[in-house]
Amino acid sequence: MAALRQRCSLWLLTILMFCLYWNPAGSVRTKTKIYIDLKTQSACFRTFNGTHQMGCASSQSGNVGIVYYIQKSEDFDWILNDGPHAPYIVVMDTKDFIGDNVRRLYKRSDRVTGIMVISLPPKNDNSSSWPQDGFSISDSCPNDQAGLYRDSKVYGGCKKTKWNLPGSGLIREDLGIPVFALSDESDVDKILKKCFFKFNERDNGSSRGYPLCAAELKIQMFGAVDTEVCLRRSNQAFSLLPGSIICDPMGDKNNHVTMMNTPQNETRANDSVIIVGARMDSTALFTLEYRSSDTCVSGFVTLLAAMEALWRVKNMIRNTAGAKDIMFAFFHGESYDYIGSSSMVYSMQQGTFPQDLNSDRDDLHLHNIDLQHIHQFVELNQVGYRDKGSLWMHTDPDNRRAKQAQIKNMIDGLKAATQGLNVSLQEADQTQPLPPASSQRFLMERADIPVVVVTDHQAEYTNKFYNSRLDLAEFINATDYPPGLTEAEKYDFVTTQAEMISELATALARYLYEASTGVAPDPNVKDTLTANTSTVTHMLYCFLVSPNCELLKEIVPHYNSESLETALLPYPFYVGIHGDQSQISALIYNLMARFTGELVDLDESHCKTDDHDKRYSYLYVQGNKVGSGKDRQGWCIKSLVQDSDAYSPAFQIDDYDWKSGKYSTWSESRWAKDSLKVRLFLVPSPHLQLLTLLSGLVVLLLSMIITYLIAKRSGEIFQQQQPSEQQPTSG
Amino acid sequence: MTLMEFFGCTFITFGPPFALFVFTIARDPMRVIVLMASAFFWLCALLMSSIVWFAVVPLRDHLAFGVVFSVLLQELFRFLFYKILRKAHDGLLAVSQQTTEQHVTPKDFSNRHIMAYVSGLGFGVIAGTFSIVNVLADMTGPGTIGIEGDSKFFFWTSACLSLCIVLLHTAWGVIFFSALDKNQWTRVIMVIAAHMFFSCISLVNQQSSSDNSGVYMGSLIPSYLLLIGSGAAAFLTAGGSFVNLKNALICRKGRYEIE
Repeated sequence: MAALRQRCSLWLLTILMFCLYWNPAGSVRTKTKIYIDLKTQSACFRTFNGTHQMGCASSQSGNVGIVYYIQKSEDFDWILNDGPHAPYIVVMDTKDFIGDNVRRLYKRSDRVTGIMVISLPPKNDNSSSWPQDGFSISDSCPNDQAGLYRDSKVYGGCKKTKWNLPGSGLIREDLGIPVFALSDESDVDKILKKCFFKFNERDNGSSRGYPLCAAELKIQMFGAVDTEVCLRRSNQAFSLLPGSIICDPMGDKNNHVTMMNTPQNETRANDSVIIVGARMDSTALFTLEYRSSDTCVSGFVTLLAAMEALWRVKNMIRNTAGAKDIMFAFFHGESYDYIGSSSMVYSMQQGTFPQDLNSDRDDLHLHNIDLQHIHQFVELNQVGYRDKGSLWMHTDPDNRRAKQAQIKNMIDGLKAATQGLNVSLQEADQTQPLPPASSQRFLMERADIPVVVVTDHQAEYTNKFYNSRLDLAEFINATDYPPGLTEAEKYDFVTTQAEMISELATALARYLYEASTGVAPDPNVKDTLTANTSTVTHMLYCFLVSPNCELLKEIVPHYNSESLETALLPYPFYVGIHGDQSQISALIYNLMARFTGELVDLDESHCKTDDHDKRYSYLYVQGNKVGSGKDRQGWCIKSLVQDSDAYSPAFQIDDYDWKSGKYSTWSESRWAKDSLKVRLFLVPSPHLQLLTLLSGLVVLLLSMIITYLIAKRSGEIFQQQQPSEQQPTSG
Repeated sequence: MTLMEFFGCTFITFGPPFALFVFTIARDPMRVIVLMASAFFWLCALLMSSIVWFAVVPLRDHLAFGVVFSVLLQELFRFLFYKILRKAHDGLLAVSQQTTEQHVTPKDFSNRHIMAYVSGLGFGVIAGTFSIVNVLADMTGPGTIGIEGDSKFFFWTSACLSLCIVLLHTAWGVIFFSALDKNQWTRVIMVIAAHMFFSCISLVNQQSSSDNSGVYMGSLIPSYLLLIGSGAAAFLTAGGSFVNLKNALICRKGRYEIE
């Protein structure tokens, strides 16, 4: 027995050694062997206006299709007509992702169930990576139906000038299939190397056989139909339950600041406020891919620089008798039918602008500004490029006829202000209407406000990437750093665009001084009214390259500092939903306070609005660094900066007629955290699948039959031995 | 649409056990109870194996180590179940005689192989379930295996091996219990050795890839050969023989004998 035991243990040991020789393995869930998940969350999502549903969505579990990468134009025919494995998920390069191609694909939803666009930064300065004629998701006549010329027979529909030639109009189309952007290198690697080239690429024109690589694109959107229906569904009786609100109106905050602090118990004369405005937003097709350089950044940075210069002489202006008030206004949501400017005009008409407070109380607040108080409106649109080396001033022909003298003064004044500066302002064709601009909403309600819009195009846009993720900083020379600079050096380097903006901001500040006081600035004042190039380049860096910059760190409260430091990309310029304020409008508010306000000696707990003088807003921010450590001074800034809702009046008016088109009705569908997903996998040939199923059925049937037969006859088959008999072992 | 693959593999793995359950176990409550109890004992063995695996931190990545211990623990629990079943034999007999259920025949207890078979099937069903249910769950999505370079026969092979283990456990149950009844220790050792052999040979599957599907044959063929061998041994142990089989299925002689 001992020998037997010894032999057994030896045998067991051998087996143990034998087995341990095999390669080690970690436990792996089968799912990780089947699916490759992509990181991308840059999806085109569903939006609504009062009458339509637009954007992209997939079925609830995702759209599945065979991956096909378009490399030449014949591939379109393959996908749409000849390919035998429809439906396909199309992968294309940025240069092919233009309106016409996208339309060709999504309109054949039986053959194309999804699109992915490879959106990597180009490795070299290869201009062939971009669509040749530009790309813009707005249509060729942006915001036409929301602007001054919607009913105009002469100027409506861009009859005179098509502003946005590369406009694809995708912003207003219901693509109906999921569309993703791939901006991560590893994602592109996976889909091309591991998926398409390995399994799906045609060899010599004929298709490959199974197994084929497929993708599942999931964009689960909760809302449907249009804004009216979606809001109604959200507001039903059970709206207190989580998950019942399925769409949100778009909106944000407008920022504005006035030079004078006129309280409500004084008078504000008619035609006594100069408004100078710019927009803060742009848009693009994909979430997380909201870039802008010319579309909005060039404009609002110029305005901020001009503001900073102008406020240096605020006491001079305030003390000048009869000086006009100057209001700097920044509008949000202008890409979506002028949400911000229509909201401001509406609140002016309601008497709640700039502060919505009762006027019978005896604490001070700012005197309201109504349309009749506006003396003139100067707007900066896209000002990053130059058209024939110059910037252009546009006016509305009817407006010009009504206010000939004033507009001539404005134009001459602006031209004069550029004297001695390296910036050129010229007049655009007088028969040409205004380009899409926020000031159009003001003219719609009061047609005799003299309006001049300054842009970088004489007729059509020079910007080929208006409202697009391709509106890159490189194109306006805002990031032309010499090679080999560190981030800190890049932050301080004065780029070409920074110089251009400084010149324009200086001209604007000088013009405003004269327009307000009525007197030309003397040489000392002129020198003071020079934009700070360093501040301008800092702003460009912070908004276009990285928010992790000293300028922004100084003007945020300490609890936002970490958000700045961990930001990997510039903050997005998309308006977003009302109630969820974007970083851009919040940062611009703080920058305005910094440039126009004064530091007061209050600590954080006392740095809040005075009970009796509500004109001034108080802001406590980190401030500049002290010493070499992480400590910061802490500033309490007192200023006249205000914000107001950029929230379309359509959502504020009871029983608004959603089909009227009077105000912006844009809203965004809601989605869940895991609603956006792309994964890759193989699909087996239908034959193999059928074979597996059939073999299973055969096994099941056979086993049922055999078991039945044996069970029935089990008595005879299994003859019982008597328990007392010892049988020799058999078998 | 790999839903077809899902159903195919489910039927392959669970078809025969389902047939066995329906035709030999379902009508008899006593057998159902013993089936469930033996399944539970297998689960206990799995629990102990996981504790051992978890406790030995440095060897966690080495599958082989876990496999060896798991096999030994499963056989240990089979032995424990045998002990319990035999001890409870008299009690169960008493219970079954008090209730006048028509279909509970004393045959269940006079023929010790029946409970051995039922307990083996219980072990087998739960072992098979645990080995395939995760794979089945992942099969229901739109994709099949292969994009990371694995063989496309993975699902089919998993199902076949799981079926193999269900039937093997059933056979081993019969052999094991009868060997212990008769104190034939060599047979017990052989069951344990067969189990070890089967588990270790399945480790060969790790070498598979999309170009190398043939590796699966290296585990499938020995496993099925082992199944045929164990099945034959169990068949003979339970009192069957080729002659009886021929008589029962082909000849009509002896069909009307009263048992």
